[in-house]
Amino acid sequence: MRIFTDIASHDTTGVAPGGRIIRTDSTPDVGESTVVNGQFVFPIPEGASLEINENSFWFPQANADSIPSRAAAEFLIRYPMYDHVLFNWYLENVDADSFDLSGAAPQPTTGNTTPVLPTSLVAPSVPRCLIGGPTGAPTVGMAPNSLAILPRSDRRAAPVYGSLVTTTVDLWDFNPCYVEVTGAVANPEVVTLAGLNLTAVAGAPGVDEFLIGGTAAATATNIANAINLGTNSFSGFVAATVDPTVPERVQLRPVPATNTAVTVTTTSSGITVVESHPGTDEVMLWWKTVRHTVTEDTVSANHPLGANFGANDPALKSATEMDPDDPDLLVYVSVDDGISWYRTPYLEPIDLVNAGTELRVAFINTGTDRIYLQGFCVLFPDLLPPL
Amino acid sequence: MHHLSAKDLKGDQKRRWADARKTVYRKVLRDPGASDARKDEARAKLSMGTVHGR
Repeated sequence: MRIFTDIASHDTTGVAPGGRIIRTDSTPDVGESTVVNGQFVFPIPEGASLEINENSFWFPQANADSIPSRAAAEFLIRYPMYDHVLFNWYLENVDADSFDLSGAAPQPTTGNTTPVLPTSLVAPSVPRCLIGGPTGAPTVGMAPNSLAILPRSDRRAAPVYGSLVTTTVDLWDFNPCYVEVTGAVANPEVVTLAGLNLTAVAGAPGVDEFLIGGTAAATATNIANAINLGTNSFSGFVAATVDPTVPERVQLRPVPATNTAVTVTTTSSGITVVESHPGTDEVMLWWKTVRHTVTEDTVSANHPLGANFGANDPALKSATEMDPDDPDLLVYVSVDDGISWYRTPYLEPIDLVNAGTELRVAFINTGTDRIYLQGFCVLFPDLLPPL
Repeated sequence: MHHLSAKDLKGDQKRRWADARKTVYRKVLRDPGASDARKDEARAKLSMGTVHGR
């Protein structure tokens, strides 16, 4: 299923309700073209049916009743073995922020991919894509359906592929592990991280000790500082951050991102421990890509019967359906912030071998045409708690 | 990137997700060929589904 929307009435700054919906239609067959002048197409993932009526809207996307959120929810229900869905249909300026355009963006290479990247093309110095301005930048070019992965470039000594790489998504946020100071902490109560004790003291802290503060928030800050202190025993496997909105809470993130099974316990009744295993070791991806063609605007000015005769054809922009497993398109996922990448076939669960918390997705174009990405979803489960 | 968790589902969506999850993992528990590890995982998933979905 797909939804056609008037692009002129669609404000990409996210002004509700978003563009005017024109019509809905079934998904065409691979190779079929649809004229999309003045419109954008919103593709609904397979199996996620939606009812669209006069009250349907695009923005705000965070609203559970918005079309993007409802589509994502229906997709999650279709695959109930997963606990979370990340989605981006490139509908508003903030959606452009989800992509890393920097030279530091990690990209798949023959040395960091499983299975090995099946091309002799090499990674470009920065992701090669066509994208609108993100928030905070000039928003020139931002329009739904206009996000493209550029074709390969053969005009170099070492030809490069086109690519689109997401920024890092911290999966810790969705299944957080933390300690929270909720009451009085006494000397010498301990917080135990991976079997190593961090002990509360009333005076100057020594090795693997933290100072009991005058308030819960001060104690939490001292715990975070003690965990991060290089001369203590913890910074090698966990990083602590005081929660910006709950100052009594110390967020515990694994170091490296794949070290997701750190155990946390405490002997203190004044400290609450939430020992989750953040991150995931399995993902499944859905995406929708098309190729665009634009015909020439032609008019025959020299027709013998006058200007109102002869050819008068407008420029037509058409979207041509692609096979999601098109050989020109390679999709990779990483949960260790781009250190290792795993190729992800369309709608197939992928075991990532090692769990991790820092998710990135990379789309690679090895072909000679631009590939337009209309949207994608990432499904993933929570790691199971210890049995 | 926008995020939606099964915990965020409400009303009819939550019920349908939980029912679908039960269907998936009860099949595993009933499967005589499923390994103990798979059955343990299915029990854990069903338990998580109960917390999240109902």
